Amino acid sequence: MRVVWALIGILFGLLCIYAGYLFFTAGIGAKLLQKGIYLQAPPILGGLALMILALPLIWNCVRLLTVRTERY
Amino acid sequence: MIRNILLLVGAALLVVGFAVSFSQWGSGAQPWGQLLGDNFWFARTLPFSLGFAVILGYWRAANWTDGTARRSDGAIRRFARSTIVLHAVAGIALVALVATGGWQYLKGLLDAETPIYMGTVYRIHYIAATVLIIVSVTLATDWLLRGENALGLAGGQRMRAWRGLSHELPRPIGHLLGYLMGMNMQRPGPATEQFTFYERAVSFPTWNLAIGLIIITGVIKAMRYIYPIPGDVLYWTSAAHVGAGVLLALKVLDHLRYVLAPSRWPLMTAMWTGWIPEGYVRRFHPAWYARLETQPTTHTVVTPPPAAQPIRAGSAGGAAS
Repeated sequence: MRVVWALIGILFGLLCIYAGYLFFTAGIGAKLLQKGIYLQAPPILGGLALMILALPLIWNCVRLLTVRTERY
Repeated sequence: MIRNILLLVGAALLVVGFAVSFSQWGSGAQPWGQLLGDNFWFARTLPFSLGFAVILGYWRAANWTDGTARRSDGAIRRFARSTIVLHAVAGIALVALVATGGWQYLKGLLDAETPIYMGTVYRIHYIAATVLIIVSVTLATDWLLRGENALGLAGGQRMRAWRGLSHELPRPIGHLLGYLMGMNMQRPGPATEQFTFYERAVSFPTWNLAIGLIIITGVIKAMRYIYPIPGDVLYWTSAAHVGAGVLLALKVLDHLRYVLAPSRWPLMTAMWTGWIPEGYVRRFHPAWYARLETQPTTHTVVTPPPAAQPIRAGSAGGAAS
């Protein structure tokens, strides 16, 4: 179960990085450039936040697969 | 008895409401395409969904048994079975909503052709929204009726929560927070209750904000063809809906990061099984453990525990973020 969830987490994190990249490039693209900062800011900031927040998730999932075990 | 009858009446009204809306949608009396038809179906069934959710919440609160069960191996029940089911259903609905909402938003931003018919994307969005509304209102009704506040902060505990949070966070961030709040970080942090200070002070309030905002703005958007809504209001409502959607996507990421950490894996398994090992509670939730030890155990489940699974743990404690 732990491995399944770790893989789901990694896949979800990678997908979010890709979606964040698409948001970011759309935000700085020609179409939104004409529409002003208020419509540009959400995809740019949201895309950056998605990419940044995906990194700790992927890191935790990798650790979930690799670190030593402890019983409670 | 009365509560069961009420639940049956609520379920029957929900089915009737869905059926009438569906029959009108399928009759061809209105010249609506799939997208507009689905929008009307969603908006018209909302009162029935909300009514059923309130009754379901009442039924759950009325059937609730107080106390905490212990298993023969010492494991402690952290979540009720119905909580596990509602959490899983809400999680699936939320992921479907974020995926379909993100798809709609990206299609507009990129101005690209989509390989999936957008009517289908919106249909999944409306169905998932109905499910999320029912689960959210059910839980809100249940918690309000029972006065359940384990995930919240009681009045007068805010500074205590900030102190606990600053000790739970990684040292640089926690100390920065403590410095900004004017705390003496030499003092030990308060003992953790059933939920960590991060869950109570940061995670749960953010969930409330994001889910509340997305439901209210989504309902206003869905009502626009039934009730006239001024263009400016609709514009800002749509902007807030997108913002709440992005916040929810970030929240899903953060929630998964939190529970998929090796040191908190027992919290993750507790969300599936309902049980958490006694040793973990004693070590990472000492205030909750102390309270449980002083209370009489409601009942002990003597069924054998599931096969012991190795638990991986990192250097950080259960409360670290």
